[in-house]
Amino acid sequence: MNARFAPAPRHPDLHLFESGGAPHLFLPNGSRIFEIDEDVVSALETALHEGGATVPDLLARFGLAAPPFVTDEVPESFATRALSLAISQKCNLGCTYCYADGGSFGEAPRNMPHDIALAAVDGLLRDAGRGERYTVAFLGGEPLANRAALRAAVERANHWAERSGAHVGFSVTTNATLVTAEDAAFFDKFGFAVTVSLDGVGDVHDRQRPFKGGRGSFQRIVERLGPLLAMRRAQVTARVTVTRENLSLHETLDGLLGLGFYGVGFSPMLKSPSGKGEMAAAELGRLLEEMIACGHECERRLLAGGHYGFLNLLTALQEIHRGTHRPYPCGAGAGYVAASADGGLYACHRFVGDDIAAMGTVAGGVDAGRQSDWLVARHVHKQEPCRTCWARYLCGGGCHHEVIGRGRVACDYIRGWLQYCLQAYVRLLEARPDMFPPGNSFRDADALPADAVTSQP
Amino acid sequence: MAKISPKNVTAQFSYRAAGNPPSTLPQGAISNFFPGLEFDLRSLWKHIFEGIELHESGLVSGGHQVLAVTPGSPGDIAGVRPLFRLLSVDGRPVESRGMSDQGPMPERFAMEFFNSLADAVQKAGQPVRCVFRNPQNNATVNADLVVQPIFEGVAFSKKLLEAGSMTQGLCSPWQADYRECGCYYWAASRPDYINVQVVAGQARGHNWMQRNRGPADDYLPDAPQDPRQFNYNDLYTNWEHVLTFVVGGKETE
Repeated sequence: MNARFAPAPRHPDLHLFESGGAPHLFLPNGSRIFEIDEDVVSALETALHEGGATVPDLLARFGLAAPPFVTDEVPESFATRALSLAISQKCNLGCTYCYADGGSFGEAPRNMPHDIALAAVDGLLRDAGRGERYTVAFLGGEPLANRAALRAAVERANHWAERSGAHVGFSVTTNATLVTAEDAAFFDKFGFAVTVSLDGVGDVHDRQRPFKGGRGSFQRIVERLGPLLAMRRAQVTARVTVTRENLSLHETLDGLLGLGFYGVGFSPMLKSPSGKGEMAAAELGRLLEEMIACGHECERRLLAGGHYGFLNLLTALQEIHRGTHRPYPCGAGAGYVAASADGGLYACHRFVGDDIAAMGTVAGGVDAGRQSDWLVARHVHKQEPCRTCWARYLCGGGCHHEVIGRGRVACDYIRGWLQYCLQAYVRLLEARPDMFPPGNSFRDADALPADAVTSQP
Repeated sequence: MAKISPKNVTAQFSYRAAGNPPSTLPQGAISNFFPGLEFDLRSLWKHIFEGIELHESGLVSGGHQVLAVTPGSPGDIAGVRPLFRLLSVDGRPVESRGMSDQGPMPERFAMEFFNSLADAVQKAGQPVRCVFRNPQNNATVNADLVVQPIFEGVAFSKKLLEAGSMTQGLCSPWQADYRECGCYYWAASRPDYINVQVVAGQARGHNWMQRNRGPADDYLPDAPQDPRQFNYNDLYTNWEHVLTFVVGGKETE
């Protein structure tokens, strides 16, 4: 690759890349993309070789200056719009890398009591206004280990929605080993977004996600998927946690799509309680190659007019087309908080039980002081080396849980992947403009999960 | 000239193409769209529903008036006719009522009236229930009309607008607005109450539009028909002589 178009950061205000044989300019401020000619490239290269101090003036001269899309200003508070319930802090699987440490987050396994689930939903929706949009997510552990409380929470949420005129969406992330036809009908009735955790097909999955006794879980899951995949309202997606053991992504992608999933998303394992399964830098290089190979296949299918549910790319295309620019990687600790089984609130489901991201209690609501401190500390302008990286507003600084727990070990991978996504976007914009209709919606991205480009559920 | 082609949405709406004035960028826009210093969005609302043309000018009591109905369109089949009034869209009232001096009113008028169709943009491509009133007998007619997409990329749809239509309803000539828009309504402050002196706690000064502005002349409340003030013709034909520069609140030579 031509060094001037490599993904490595050269200047905080710009990034050059090539797509379709033409040079392109990515401006982090507003995540703006321009095709440029060699004269513009030369002028920018000269400015970079001279140390980069004249880059802002040069951008202004080319009509590319803009006020900051993301400022240093930190929101003082956020109304909660998304709440996850660790409805069951226990699990029947013994995944090698689980962030919840076997489902219980290092504590005694337990279910969330009904009264806490209902109080959490009441706190979210009691003052909801007409037309406002909320999400209630069920995570664990394995949420279906406590389906009675899950159903009670859904009914309570719908009670508030009918009363206020607010719109409430539901999601669940499940290992699918316990799912029944009745569960699927319930999810379908309420339009759930269902994510099934699957790490591959057959043995590949079983090595990472066995039952606690050691027996493989894949066959059981396949036996139970039928009613889920037959749901009419909701689209069911698979989420794959990637370690060094399941790096054949293309095979996994085709295998899971072949089972009938609408889409498949991959997330590298970067932080586990024991360190087991965490990917090393060299393995992330291999992961990038695998991701790009899946991306090329997805492009090929899209160019042929078909659908190919490689969610990492489809989500990225949507965000790049809009020019998404975020001061945080996700809504954790902002518009999104997670409730633990014992009624604590945390910045997200991965931090359940961890005081570092405690955000108050179900009974008392979000602690405004802790939320403010979190938002100040986690703003991407406060992160290093993010402040000098061109990808900072696409990435938002990386998953808080991974960064706080392990540091920023995946930056090269993230930049490499985003550079590929930028290139793919330019190619598809040219070849399939119908995929990017008027306005800013994206035709092939309906019902995608709300994952950020690089973060993971 | 350098070739720079904006690709994604943020690049398109923030790029100032060669030849475009600063006000074409969001950060440089005056954001006064009615009666309008840059565009008049009423031209867009006229065609927001397929098969129906609305009459959007004037603060007409009763609200959006049907100007024309395409023969054979869903509106035509439902019985919508010219001069009918649009009362609600998708369950939301969009009509206007006359202004009142009885304090705040729940009804929409003025800017809110023209903005009232903006919500429909979110339903582009979909049919929405529109309720019309026949002014002759006050009967209502329901029609499910498809909302036209107003954007092509980040630009307004050429299907809805002919070239020039977004600016044809703007303040014209500009001198008329100097007569109409007092009280610092103009984005760039237009002089209003000038030559002000405070004596013993009382302010005395002149209206920028009054002819005589000597020490003995008191402020005249704005009234275009008052012969002691400049009229429209004075401003159209002789603005460079009747209007003065005002610096620091004081008239200058």
